[in-house]
Amino acid sequence: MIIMNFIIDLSINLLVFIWSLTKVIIPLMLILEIFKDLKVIDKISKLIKPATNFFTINEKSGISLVIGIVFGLLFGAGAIIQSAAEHDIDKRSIFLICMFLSLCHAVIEDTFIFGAIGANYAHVLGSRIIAAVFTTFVFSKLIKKDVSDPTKI
Amino acid sequence: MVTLDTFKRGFNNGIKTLIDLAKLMVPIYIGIQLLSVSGLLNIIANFFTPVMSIFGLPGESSLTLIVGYFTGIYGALGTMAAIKLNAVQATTIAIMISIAHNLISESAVIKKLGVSAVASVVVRFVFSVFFGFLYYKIFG
Repeated sequence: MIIMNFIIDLSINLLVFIWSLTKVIIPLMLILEIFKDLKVIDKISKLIKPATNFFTINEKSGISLVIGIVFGLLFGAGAIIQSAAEHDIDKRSIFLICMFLSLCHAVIEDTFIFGAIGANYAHVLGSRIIAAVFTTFVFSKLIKKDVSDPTKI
Repeated sequence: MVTLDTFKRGFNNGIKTLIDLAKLMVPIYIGIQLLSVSGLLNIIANFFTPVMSIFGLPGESSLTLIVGYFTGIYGALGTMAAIKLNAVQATTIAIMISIAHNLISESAVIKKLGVSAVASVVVRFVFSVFFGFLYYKIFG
């Protein structure tokens, strides 16, 4: 009897937990698909020029930064490979984007998932952005642009 | 253009994500409950209490960190479902895990791009610990 109650308690607890995530994940995935079809990423990419200038990275690689931040590391990596094949992106830019995306990727999904279980949305998202901007900025100052590199910005 | 297909894809992705999540979360959640019933969780928690108190977290949360660092966010959620945390504690651990998670497979992705996986892991781990500490100091 005690074991039965224990199992029922566990199951209810799990279902409540999964339900609280379901309420967030389904709408979120709908929004992300709408983003894709409205080509929101292309539009944001035009606005990201100040950011690529700030980190002194190749302008053409800005789109992979946005894709990584919104959709995740794997999508960002795919976009980096694609844009590197098309535009000759220098190693320094790829390194800096990887540092940024290591700390700050798939932020919409991750933030909402943790928010759904009681964490503060703004604080979770803010911490990642601060960490990524700080790290990328410091590395961009530490690693000098190679002027002899023909693929320089 | 947004069509009915957009919503279908979004809904399917949502279901797929939930299934992926449940596949990892449910076994880990049950595992933690078994640890708890057997008394092992208490021993682990006591062992890690001094370390976790740096972040204002209970000793049990050490499992969230370990599972999160190695398997990822979904696994970490499984442990969080089993451990009672207040709002500040939940945010602290959410910050730590969202900065550094799934380190093995994600650094493999980084390495594929020709970038140092070590640099990625070190930066993420350092910020995870530092921001966890800082958040507790400011809001705890």
